[in-house]
Amino acid sequence: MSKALLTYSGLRCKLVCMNNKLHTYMTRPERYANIDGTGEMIFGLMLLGFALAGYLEASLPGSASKWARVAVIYLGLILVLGLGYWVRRGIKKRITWPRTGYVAYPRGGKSWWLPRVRIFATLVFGLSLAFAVGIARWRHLISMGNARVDGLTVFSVVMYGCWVSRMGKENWWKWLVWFFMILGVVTIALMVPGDFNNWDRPPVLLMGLLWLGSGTVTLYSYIRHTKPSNPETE
Amino acid sequence: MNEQLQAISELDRVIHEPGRLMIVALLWAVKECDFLYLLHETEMNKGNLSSHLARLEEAGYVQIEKTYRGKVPQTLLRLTSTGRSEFARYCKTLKAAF
Repeated sequence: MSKALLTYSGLRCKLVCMNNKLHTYMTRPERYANIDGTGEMIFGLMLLGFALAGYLEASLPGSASKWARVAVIYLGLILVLGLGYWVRRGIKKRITWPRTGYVAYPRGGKSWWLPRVRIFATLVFGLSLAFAVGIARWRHLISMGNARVDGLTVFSVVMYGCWVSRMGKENWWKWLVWFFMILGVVTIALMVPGDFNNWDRPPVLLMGLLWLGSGTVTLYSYIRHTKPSNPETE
Repeated sequence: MNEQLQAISELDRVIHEPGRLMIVALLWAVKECDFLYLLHETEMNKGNLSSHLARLEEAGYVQIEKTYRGKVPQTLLRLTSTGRSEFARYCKTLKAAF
């Protein structure tokens, strides 16, 4: 019988591999949250809510008060976000949990300072952005509505890219959606007559539909590849 | 080198077993989950997973709660505070070993 001795470098390699595996296991539950595509659907619905609010606001007569416009925007957003919440809850309860299991995520962490630092950083970023937009508007470089739409469009494209890069190789087709997203935004920008500042709600509508579509395809693929389990033998 | 070997010898044997390490690492990132989730993520069979969970429960690292979701039985699992601190210590020791 031969006995193989583990050299120091072999041992080190084993430990490093183990540490990497450990890290993979620890990040797996985070990815599981979107295994059924509900995360994408929620974001898609949120964008559709913004687009809907924009179209509703545009359909109001010119004499409508400022408060009526704000109320219409909020009504559109609340309706769509409420729908998103119930859709997600329904999918998780009826499809995901009986098939691949239930997971509850911790709210925040044990460290008290990390959420506070995040809130502070978000506030600083938000205020800086508001200040920059205010200056640009004061100098008549942009209009407020366009700044909102441009920001939302860029944010959703970048976010989808980050989302796909975290999803892993099994969802390679999402890179095509991302490419189509960029292509669609550029096409809309080129098709809108006049300068770049004249474009408005269509990019947000496109983003919302693509996010929602991507989530729906993920859900379909999930349902196709999994089946409800028999819980009696646990 | 000696310090590294000492660190290896200090690794918690209950957690160090590959199957149990996987279970504890998965439970670390969540508040709680059910048996089915662990079965799906670890790709173990039910018997293996049950015996590993029983060992972890015996060591006081995992809390197992039998409950119902509607009329369906459900086994909820979560890491205890001892389990969390022991796993954090395990990760620290593992890093010190290389």
